[in-house]
Amino acid sequence: MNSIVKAEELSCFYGIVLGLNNVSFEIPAGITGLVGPNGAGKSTLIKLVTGQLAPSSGSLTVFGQRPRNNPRLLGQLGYCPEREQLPKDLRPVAWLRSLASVSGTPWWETRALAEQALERSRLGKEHWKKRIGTYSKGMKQRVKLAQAIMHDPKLVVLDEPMNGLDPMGRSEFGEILKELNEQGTSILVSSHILHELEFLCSGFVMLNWGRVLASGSQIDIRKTVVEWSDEISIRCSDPNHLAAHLQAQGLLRGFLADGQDLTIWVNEPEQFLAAWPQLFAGCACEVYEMRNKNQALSSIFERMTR
Amino acid sequence: MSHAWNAQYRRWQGQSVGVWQRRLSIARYGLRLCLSGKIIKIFLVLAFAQTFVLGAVFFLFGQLVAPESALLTWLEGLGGEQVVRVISGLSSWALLYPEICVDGIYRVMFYLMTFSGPFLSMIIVALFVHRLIANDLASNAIVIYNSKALTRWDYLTGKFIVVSTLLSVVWILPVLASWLISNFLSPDWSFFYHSFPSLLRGLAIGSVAVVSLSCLALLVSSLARKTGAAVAYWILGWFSLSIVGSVASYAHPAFNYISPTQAIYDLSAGIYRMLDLVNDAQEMLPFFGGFFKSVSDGTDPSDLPIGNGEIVLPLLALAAYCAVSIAVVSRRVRAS
Amino acid sequence: MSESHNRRARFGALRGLLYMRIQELVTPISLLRAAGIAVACFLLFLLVGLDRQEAAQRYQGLVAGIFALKFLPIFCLTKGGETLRSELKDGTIEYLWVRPASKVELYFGFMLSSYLGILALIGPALLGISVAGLTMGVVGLDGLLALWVTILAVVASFTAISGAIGSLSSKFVVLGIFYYSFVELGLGAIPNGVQRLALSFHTKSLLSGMVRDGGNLSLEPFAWILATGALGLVVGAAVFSQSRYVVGSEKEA
Repeated sequence: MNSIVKAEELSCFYGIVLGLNNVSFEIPAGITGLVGPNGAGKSTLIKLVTGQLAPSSGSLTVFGQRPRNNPRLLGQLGYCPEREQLPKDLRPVAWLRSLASVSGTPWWETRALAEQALERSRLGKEHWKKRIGTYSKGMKQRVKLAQAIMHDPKLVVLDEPMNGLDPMGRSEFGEILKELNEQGTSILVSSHILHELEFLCSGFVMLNWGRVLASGSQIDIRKTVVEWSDEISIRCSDPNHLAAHLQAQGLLRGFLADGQDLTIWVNEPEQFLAAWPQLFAGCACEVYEMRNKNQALSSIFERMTR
Repeated sequence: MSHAWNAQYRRWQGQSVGVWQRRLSIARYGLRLCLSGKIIKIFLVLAFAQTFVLGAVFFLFGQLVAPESALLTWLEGLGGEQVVRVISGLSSWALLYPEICVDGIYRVMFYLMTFSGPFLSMIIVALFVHRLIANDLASNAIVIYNSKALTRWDYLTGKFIVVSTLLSVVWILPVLASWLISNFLSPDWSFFYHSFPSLLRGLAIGSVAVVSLSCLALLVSSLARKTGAAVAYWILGWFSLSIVGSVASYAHPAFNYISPTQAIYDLSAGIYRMLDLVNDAQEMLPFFGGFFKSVSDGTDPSDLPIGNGEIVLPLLALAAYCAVSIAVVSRRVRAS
Repeated sequence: MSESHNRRARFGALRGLLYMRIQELVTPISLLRAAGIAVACFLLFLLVGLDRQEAAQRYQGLVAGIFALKFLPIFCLTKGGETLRSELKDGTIEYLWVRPASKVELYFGFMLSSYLGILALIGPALLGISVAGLTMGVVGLDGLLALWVTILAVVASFTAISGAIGSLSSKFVVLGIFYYSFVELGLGAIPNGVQRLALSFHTKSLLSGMVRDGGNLSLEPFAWILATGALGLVVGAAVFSQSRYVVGSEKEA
């Protein structure tokens, strides 16, 4: 695996308070989700990756280098902190220009960089003249993202970027991150709301109480499911027709159709999941997505932490 | 059917405590918060230490005028008969004119104490001013207070109790405690009677200072948008107003009271009336008359660097500060 | 990144932080505040001229005695560390820590930003005071030159000292007052070599006779003022670069 972040027996303590406890994992290029409940060690790991903290023991490398006191590496990282505080008396372009200057960008290039970053983070031009203090939460998140991607970093680290955003805002924010990734930027994004990241990330690091519970791609993590739920969600073109088709075969204990979504409760979930292509044959209905309840990341995570 | 025990959630059906209890709970919590630092405790101890200084002076004075006191015996051993004779002379004056000698020593000491009060108040308030209202405004806790069964006046009363309690340690407690200690240790119960006017003067200036400075502290705390700014506003405001007052007094002496410190100093001089005390002492005690002649050129007491001060104007200035503070603070903490 | 790029980045931190502060200071409210301060100081100091005979003496006493020796040190000691501390408290320092700039460069940037912020308030006040002095005819241009040069140096030094205190503790305001009481009032009053540690002692000598004979601009007091400031800057930078801070609260270790 071509990893961009590599941790070996990594520990970080705040005095006697545990941050991370002897964890080892690798993060490949792409969009990686850092998930776990509050206090799991996500922010500690992010601070270690961005060089704000030094490991208490073990090692952590980003692009093969140690991030602490390493300006050369920091030039390749972008960071969007969880905290919402921004300089409220400044306009976004002015703030971004000064941060670009701190990053070492020649002054005459800072304006173009700042404007480009704001465009990439989809902050409407009509808002550029306003002071940041007057912005909504969503607009502030865009400005925060813009400062992180302004210098075209290889890795962008985002700490709980979707906190406080409405569903539309979250979805749009996800699209921006996907676009960034398509342009070759790797992204490490933390959240304690797993379903947010499920459709966004190709890989995950799951943390709890300073320990890594699982890490790897979505497929690898889903393979850990050993127990199947009898509840299956299907997204298809005609839920009622499909339900009737399955009911006729005596497979269902119950079902619930809502728009394009169909939730069914089956008698033998494992057999059903193994033979579903044959079972669906003969039904003139297009199936877009099918998922067992236990395959959901939140469900996997819940079982792991139990 | 009635159940013996019901595990369901039950609302509180007991008697609610009165509004003063609720105000006091705000004050209790505020006091705990304000006293959480070490430095403030050190300064409060320093402020309270004035009690022992004052008490020691009063006690020594009492011992000097007491016949057969241990102190006199010790002094006799140290300086011989001559010292005892001088002290006996002093004590006979004190016994002849207790309204000057006993009241005078209390007045002088309490008056001197008012000079340390403003500085100690400035430092002590600077150590907790950000925790009064600024903290609640910055963290939006004010919304929670406003959602409770309390009016903004209850909230402000609670906060006022916090500041005034802490400032009382600077202004009122040393006066009261030193008066009580020294009188309990005095050789003669008449000390109670003769020093009582000084106590009243001390409590009067102390109360005015505590009330006015508490209002100002609440005002500064409510004006700061950030908690750290409250401390800077308090200290800079304190010094800025002193400068503005001293410059503006060139136009009219009354503008000196733009500075609350100056107003308190002048009010203190007005309440203690040191010049009157000196005049009385000069008339009644020949020893002091000679002493003051050596300090000033003539016999006119107005040549001395002390005065009777003013009462009305400084009091009006402080009252104006209180009124402005109450008006501004109540607007800042209202539910919007 | 190349070496030349690194060199540009170093100056970039200073320039970036300075630009940020300038942008904050040119808001309409800030400009209005500066104008208000200048006008208020001008009008206030005109009151000195009510007594023509004593105007010059009073002006000297107020400017050199109270403004430069009392107000200015307290103002600088309570505001100098504010930029650094508010960045730490608000958490906006997180946007700077992860940039390719060293902590020492960032610290110098903060100090420069603080200096500018203080000058934005002291400058208009000094302007009002100077114009009032000229209007009343109590001070000449040479006296004002001495005043301005001295004040600029003193503000820089006190800002650096406050910054050093701020890098050590979040209670820099109160500790600054202690510093003023102990060093400026205490040591400054001791009549031997120790008083040279107090900036007020040198300020007093530089501004003595400002009204009468245009001040006393000599090299030695300046050297003491600037050396004290430089020491404060170095100590502050060393402490800041070696300490670990918890953003949003007190210093952790």
